[in-house]
Amino acid sequence: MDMSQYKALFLSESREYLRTIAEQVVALEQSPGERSAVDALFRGAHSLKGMAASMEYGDVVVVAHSMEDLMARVRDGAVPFDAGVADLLLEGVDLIDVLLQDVEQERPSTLPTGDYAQRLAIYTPAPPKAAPADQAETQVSAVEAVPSPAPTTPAAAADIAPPPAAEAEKAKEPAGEAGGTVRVKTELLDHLINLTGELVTNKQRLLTIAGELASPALNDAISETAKLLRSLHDEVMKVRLMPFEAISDRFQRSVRSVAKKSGKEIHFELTGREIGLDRGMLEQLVDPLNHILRNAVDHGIEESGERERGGKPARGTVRLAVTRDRDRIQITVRDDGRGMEPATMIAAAIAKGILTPEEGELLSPRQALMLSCIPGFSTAKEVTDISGRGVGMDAVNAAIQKLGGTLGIESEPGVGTTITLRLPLTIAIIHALVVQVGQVKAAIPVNAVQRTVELSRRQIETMGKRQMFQLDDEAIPLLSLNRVLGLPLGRFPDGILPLFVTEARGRRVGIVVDRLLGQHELFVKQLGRPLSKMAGVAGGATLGDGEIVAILDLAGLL
Amino acid sequence: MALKVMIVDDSLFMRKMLRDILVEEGYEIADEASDGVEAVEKYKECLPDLVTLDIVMPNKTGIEALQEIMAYDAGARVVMCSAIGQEALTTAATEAGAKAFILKPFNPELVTRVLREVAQG
Repeated sequence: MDMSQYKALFLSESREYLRTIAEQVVALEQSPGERSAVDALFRGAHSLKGMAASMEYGDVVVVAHSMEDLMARVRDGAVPFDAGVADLLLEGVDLIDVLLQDVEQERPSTLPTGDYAQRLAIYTPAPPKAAPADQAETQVSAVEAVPSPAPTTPAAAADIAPPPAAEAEKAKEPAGEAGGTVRVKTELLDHLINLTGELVTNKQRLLTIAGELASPALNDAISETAKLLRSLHDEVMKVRLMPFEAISDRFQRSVRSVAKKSGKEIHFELTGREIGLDRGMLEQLVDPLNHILRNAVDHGIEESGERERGGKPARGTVRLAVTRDRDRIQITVRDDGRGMEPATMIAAAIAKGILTPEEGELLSPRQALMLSCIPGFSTAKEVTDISGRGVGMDAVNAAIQKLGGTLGIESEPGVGTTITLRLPLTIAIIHALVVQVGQVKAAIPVNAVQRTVELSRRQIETMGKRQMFQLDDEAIPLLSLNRVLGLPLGRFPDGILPLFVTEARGRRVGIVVDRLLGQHELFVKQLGRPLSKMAGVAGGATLGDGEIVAILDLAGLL
Repeated sequence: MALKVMIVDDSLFMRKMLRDILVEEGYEIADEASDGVEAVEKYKECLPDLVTLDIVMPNKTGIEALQEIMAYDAGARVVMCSAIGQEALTTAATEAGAKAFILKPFNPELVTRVLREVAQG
């Protein structure tokens, strides 16, 4: 029998079982006696084993079989469901996940399963009270927001989004066969988005032509088309939305594992798992959020002794919340740890040679906290130990900016830190400021633009080698985009310099251009190789008049 | 006339594989069910000639479903299917009225031979 025809189905169903298993493990840690979760775990491992045996994937069979046996012992009461069992099961999930990737890539197994099966076979629970200090019990719990309603549009339901834990039983039956829903290939969805994007671009072109013709009738027709396009765009975008929960189980697990490693007691809360995000964005949020959460646990939350001395509960709390505010998504990670001290951050940056002491004095507390997002600052070990945060925050910030979002840090020493990510609902269509530099036009996503200014030459002050201007009582350095891009410098015969203000390396900068051409709605196209390798260019787009613009990634450029 | 078979398994992968084997052998698929509750309901609706019944399933196990099906139709011809590890349940299944037991992974020749024997009584 030719089994290759079943491979895709095997992979997708196996992954659904893995998700179910991981969810049930977390559910059981919170209510260990839950009989239905024990049964579901057993069945998940059993079904995985049976499927893998049919495909003759021996390694998967071995791992799944030992998980099944361990769960049978739990079910029969021979072994209690404790943290040790949870760890072993989650380890098994990770092992199989890697094995499935190998299967998918059609490469020989890259991961030896080692003594995994043996460790499960001989597992006996640790005697109570005898736990060594570094194995402090970790409690991870998830507080649910209002139970999520099922996706309302048929197309959204067609997504392979995993169901909420409470509906884990239904995960047994892959979505797609129930009445009223269909499975749709993601390429087809992407194609629909593409076409809609092209229509938006074409509308801009019609607007340009209508402007030249000055025909009221044509204008009316176009504005009606624009409305329809907006609804079409909104509907198509909904299809791309997947609930946040598609990635959230990974966070529970990473918080759990970091807490365990660092010997801290953490209470983890997650709200808003039902909020829909652009599927393209979800994947790209996994690493940044993992980073932020790891920092919060590892550097933010204090040891329990230190916490108690400070009058805090021994157990630290980390909250991950996803909310939607009309057309923006907000994700916050809040910890009740030691917080960050702006003065310490500035001192560290000066010590690293990133700032001069004079520059340090000019920074507001908010700007001082953003120093952690500067490359070079965050990698310094001694700094993270003092500041309590910062590992890889530059990478996190860059990733969020690339998604058209912003990152904000608020912190109160001794009370905790909140990191807020604000993201657009979609990454396919953006609002951008289009500027003229030399012979070319460039677009800057509006999330990166704080404001635009037309500056008279007289307002420019020279401080040392730098040219600055005053804005809201803050001295802001000026940079020429022409110079950054290696283009001839602008002349400004009327003495007025057009510029926009953005934030780079934690502080505001005025970027001077030849002309500000206004705000446009752009449909972002990813660049192919080798252009995609260019630092500072996030993508391309076509303007209404057919002209091509590069969309600049200022974080990568400056 | 082709014999009608109902396939019961909580795994879509397993149902698909079994369906392909049976269709190839000229059986007609009466229906499919993905748990024990559904299996009993659908049995009453489509009254198949043969049933392949998985044991480890949500909501109602294969053994429980088998007991209900036999109580409804003492002439039901049910073949139990399960992966290694559930052999202990063969006795319970036979006592409850199962006609045969197939071990997963499915071997097409074995599946068709067992089903033929069961169909011929």
